Amino acid sequence: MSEIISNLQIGFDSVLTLNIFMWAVIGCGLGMITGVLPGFGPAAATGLLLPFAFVLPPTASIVMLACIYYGSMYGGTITSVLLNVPGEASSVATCIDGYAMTKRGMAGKALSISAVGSFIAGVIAVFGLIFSQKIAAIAITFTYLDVFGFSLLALTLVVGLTGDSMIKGLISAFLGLFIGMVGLDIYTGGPRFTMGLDQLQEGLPFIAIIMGIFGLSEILESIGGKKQPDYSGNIGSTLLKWQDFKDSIGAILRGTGIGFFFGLLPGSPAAASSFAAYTVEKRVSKTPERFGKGAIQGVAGPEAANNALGISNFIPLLALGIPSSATMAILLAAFTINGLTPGPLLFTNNPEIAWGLIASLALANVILLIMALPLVRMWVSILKIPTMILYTITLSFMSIGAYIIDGSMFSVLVLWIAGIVGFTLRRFGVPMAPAALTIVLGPMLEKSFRTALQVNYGDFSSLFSSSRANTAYALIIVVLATKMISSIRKSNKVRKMKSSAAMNGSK
Amino acid sequence: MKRNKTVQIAAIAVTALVLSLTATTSASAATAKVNGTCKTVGQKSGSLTCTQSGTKKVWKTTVVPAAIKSWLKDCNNQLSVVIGYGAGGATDIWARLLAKYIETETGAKVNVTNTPGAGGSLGINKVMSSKRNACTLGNVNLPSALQYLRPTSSVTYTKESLNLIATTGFSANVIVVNADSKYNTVKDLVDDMKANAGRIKAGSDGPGSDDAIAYYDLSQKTSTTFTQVVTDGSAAKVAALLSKQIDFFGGSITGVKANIDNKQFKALCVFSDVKSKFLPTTPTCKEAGVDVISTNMWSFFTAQGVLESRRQAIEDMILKIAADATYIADNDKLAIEVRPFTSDALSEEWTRQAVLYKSIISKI
Repeated sequence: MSEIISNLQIGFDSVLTLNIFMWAVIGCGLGMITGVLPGFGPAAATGLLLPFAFVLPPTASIVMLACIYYGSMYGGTITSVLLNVPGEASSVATCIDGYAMTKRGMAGKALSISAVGSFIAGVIAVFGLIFSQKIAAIAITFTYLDVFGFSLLALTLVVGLTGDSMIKGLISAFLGLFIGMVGLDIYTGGPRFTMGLDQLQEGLPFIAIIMGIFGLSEILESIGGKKQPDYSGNIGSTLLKWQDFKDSIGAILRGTGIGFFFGLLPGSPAAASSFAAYTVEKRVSKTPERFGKGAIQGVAGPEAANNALGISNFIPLLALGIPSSATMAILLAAFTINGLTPGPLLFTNNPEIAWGLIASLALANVILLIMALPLVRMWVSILKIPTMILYTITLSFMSIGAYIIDGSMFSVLVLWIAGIVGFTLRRFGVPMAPAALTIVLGPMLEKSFRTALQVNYGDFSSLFSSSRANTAYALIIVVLATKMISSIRKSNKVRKMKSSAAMNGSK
Repeated sequence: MKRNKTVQIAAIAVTALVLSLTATTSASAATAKVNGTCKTVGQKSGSLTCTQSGTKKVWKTTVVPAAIKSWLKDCNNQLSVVIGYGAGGATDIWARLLAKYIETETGAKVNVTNTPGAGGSLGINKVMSSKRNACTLGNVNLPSALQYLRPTSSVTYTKESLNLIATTGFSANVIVVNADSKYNTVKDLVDDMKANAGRIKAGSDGPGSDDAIAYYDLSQKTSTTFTQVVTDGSAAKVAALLSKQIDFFGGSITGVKANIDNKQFKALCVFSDVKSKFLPTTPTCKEAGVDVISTNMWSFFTAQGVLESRRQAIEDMILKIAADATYIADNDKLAIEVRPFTSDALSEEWTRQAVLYKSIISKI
């Protein structure tokens, strides 16, 4: 324990200087802006600023780049809540109840709880980071088979996102799985559903699809409606009441655990963890019918998950030297440019850097909370802009965001087609959340399944050879059985009510 | 009143982003200063002269070739570099570093953008269809660019479609095993592959990748068979080896140097004709009795139809950068070897690799 405290002291000593503090503040600010701009992700922002690593001292450059990444996790929420446009892939799940809260005049509260939830999740996750070497030793024992088991379990969570109609939910889920299959098959090199277009070889751009099926279809739906929504007179209080906090703390803690765990899995997409947190909240809630209609736990859970994942993503990098995302790869480059080698030896050879980074993430949490809360009122005041002007701005904002993804009009076209498809499906009452989840889970499931088989020489019985995967399969059976039993009970109840109503009628 | 305040704060936010972009430019200037080669105004270093220390134009070439002058004039001092791979990868970092030096050399602003997709070919297409003024440069990697030779490929370019400029970046692939693996030499590995045919697992980037080519060559030259496990990128290969789901893989030195330094991996042999300066104690595979070559080369090209004098001037400039000691030192930090190739030498190397690739690709 005393060793941990002395290590943390080394970390804080190296970070708590005016110079490093300034770079942390700049990083957090830029990160928030990066999060707000759809399409312009933390990988692009850190890539752009990587040359700083050649100029600045190691701690300053690494702290700044880490803060950009972490700040973007905070910033991505803002447009999800206010405009139903996810700024980052990890903020998709927040759209569902965040935007519903905005519609109910609770936008300020939604942004405040996401900032507070992110802060709590961040602090807890940083605490986990202190034990990164021990956690990494466990994380590295996760095999492709284990990842397959957990992906399959996550896929069953789709049941919790289906809404009123299971069939419509499944239509959406299968659409998402199909979208996730587009691109080159990495195992054979053959194109799948690419229609001869080179642009589709890497698959459909996720963020353009998500902006289309959530944000754009929402706008099209509103334009087609009889009355344009107007939130300007009702932006609500930005202050959280004690009751809001009490309602959310469970969701925040569960979300933190889920996000932290997902961040350790290799190749795990951030969007999957926030969806998992969302569906878990819906499942444990005593009033699941409030989800999708502005439940505060539906914002707090996913936001906590996405920030905890943001922190736990550093564990494979710091303790093992494995970059689990493009942004982490850029950070790895920043380390190597400075002659540092992330991995087991970093904590021994350069404790001031390793512990400095951990301390800077703790500091970033405080900086971001201080930045985020006072800005809530400013962000919410965006809703005062007359609806049609706001829609025009949002459309331009989304189109530019889509263009930034790969610097071509192709993603803009994808955005618009996804918007029209989303709009049509909405008209038939098909929910969009299952599709968003399966787009990210599908490829993860496929890759882990096929690689697990390759590792085990194609032996299908090996799929049951891991205790972790077997636990996941057992949980899947529990989840599905619970859903089936509750459906049967519900239909029995309806049948009984109908028959008693019929008997009363016949009397 | 409140709206005005909102607008003001938004303006501040946008200004911060713009400032950050500008800061990137300043960073390159500061580099020269930090590197200690340009401490005072008027100091001379080779053909370069320091002007305003600490400002954007730290360097000013004493003799600027006319072709470069007209190039920069046509481009309005705004150059563009298109990278066909995502941010954070080895190619991206190599190209951004070179772009930074071009910026310092010319004083022009160099905008670097990523157009990832289709194994780099989307970026190549974008550069091929750019204006014939060389204001847009792009990267082309060997052997990944040879994907057009695959029978199933939909890639439309060939070597002749590209206006090659020069190569600076080079990284050989190295066979690595887990630190506690029973293999200490490539001979141990080969012997085990012979004893347990098909049971030894190698991490691979998939069919058509440089891994697949090298592994085919390895199995042919050692008369062995082994299982290839396809993983999604180099980080996934590293994780698979650390978790012992695979027994070995061939990866670029740039990508695995950190793991070797950390003593997580052992390097058995380098797929190169000469020893790597980053792994001086590791033999080449040829020295270890396995004559397999597998390397990566990172080059710049532009669209066809550019004036030859201009293309030549850009080639000269890039080769001059490649000879710069600070550029080499910066590449060293990233475990990227600076191995310059003129456009003619690159073209020859391309043809040589294409012949080899074609002969192997038809068999796997």
